[in-house]
Amino acid sequence: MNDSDIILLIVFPTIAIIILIMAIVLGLIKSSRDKVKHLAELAQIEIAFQKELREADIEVGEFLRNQFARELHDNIGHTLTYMRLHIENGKLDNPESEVVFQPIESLLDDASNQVRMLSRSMNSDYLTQVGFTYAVKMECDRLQKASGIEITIQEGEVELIGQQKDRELMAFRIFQEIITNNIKHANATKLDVILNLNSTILGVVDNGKGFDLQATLSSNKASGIKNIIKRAQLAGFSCLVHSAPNQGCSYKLNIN
Amino acid sequence: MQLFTRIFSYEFSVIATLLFGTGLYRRMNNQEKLIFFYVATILVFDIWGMSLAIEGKNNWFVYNILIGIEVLMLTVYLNQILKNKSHIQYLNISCFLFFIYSMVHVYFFGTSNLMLPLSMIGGSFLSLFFLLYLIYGQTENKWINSPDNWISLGSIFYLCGTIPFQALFHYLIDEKQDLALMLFQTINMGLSHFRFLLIIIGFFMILKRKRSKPELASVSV
Repeated sequence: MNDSDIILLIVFPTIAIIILIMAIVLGLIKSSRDKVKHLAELAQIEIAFQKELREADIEVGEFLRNQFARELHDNIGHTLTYMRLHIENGKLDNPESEVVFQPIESLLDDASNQVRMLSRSMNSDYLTQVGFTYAVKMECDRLQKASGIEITIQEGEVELIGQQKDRELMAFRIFQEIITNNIKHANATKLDVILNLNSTILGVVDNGKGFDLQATLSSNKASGIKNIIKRAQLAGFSCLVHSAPNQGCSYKLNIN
Repeated sequence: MQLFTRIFSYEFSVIATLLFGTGLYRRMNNQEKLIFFYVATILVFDIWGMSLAIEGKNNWFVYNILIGIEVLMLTVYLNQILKNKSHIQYLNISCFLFFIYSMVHVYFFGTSNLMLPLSMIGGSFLSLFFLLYLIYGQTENKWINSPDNWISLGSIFYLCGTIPFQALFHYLIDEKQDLALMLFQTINMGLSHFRFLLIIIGFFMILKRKRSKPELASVSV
């Protein structure tokens, strides 16, 4: 074999292999892109499905809350009112026993107030009627009376959500979830609530024991905080949660 | 092209890749640092090989060691990138078998002072298979933004392009030594230039990559 034959014998297969490899690489890139695209589509479908599930879950939750609020108002509320009437009648029949009835009366008033406030905080129709800001203030008032936590409210001038009733309701439910978390886990004595300030619809800062946020989120527990995040996503709010052990916890719900 | 110019341009490519990589070293993740050290290893072995050649000594054992290191480094590189555990096991077993095969090869030839084309071809096929698998398995949306893809592509072209020459290497050395040298310099060095260029592009993609933010104890959605 002469030199040119050898060169051809090496150069041609080299070029052929390079072209073949190029074709294989391009084919692999294309199929890998198709795979990524397909996975992205599947992820989108999954997200949409999860969103629908969450919406349905929230709707069912609202329905049950409304039912419960109605039961509280209609049954327990009325029972308490009848008890009050009976006491009034008892007082009229036995004026000398007024001293005995007075503390019971006062306790009944308290119970009626608590039931009414609880029923209102559960009733979505009432909440959409009074608006987010008023509902939060009412809830703070109820919480302060029930748990003794010191609550300060800082309020901006403009209602940020405005007339978007669904989002107002969602923001209020998030607030309730935050408060529930706080009472159950944080052992806080002080709560700062920010309402409608700059772009923040709602800010809650507590002086509780705090927690390791990353560890909590990656655990199977923490359904409360996950619920807060999911609800915020669903309502289209941006939600910032910050916490560390012994450093309290803060939640910020911003309007996008 | 003169031999000196070819060698000089080749070493220039290696040094340019190293210098570019040095500037980005802090931003590199572990597998990219491994590629950086791999290029540095090539430079060290080239200098060693050339110094032996200048003294008129046989330097093939240097390149036989280099192919072993190359396969080992690519195995470690792929170990860091591949996600499937069984694939990593296949890779490690294949790498182990490659070394056993190379040792048997050296034993039968009786010396490592010969080029071992079968070992090199075996190593090339092994690396090629896993690099192609890596390209297929990547999940990044923008293919060109991934440094790993460019680095892998450079290795793929270099490894597959040198296979025909390696297959005929012993025949050429025995029959046409000058032609063997000329083809070696043209094919091997040409593909090396291309490989280093793609590695530089890979390193450049590290520049485009955003710095990862330090982990905060907060979550934002």
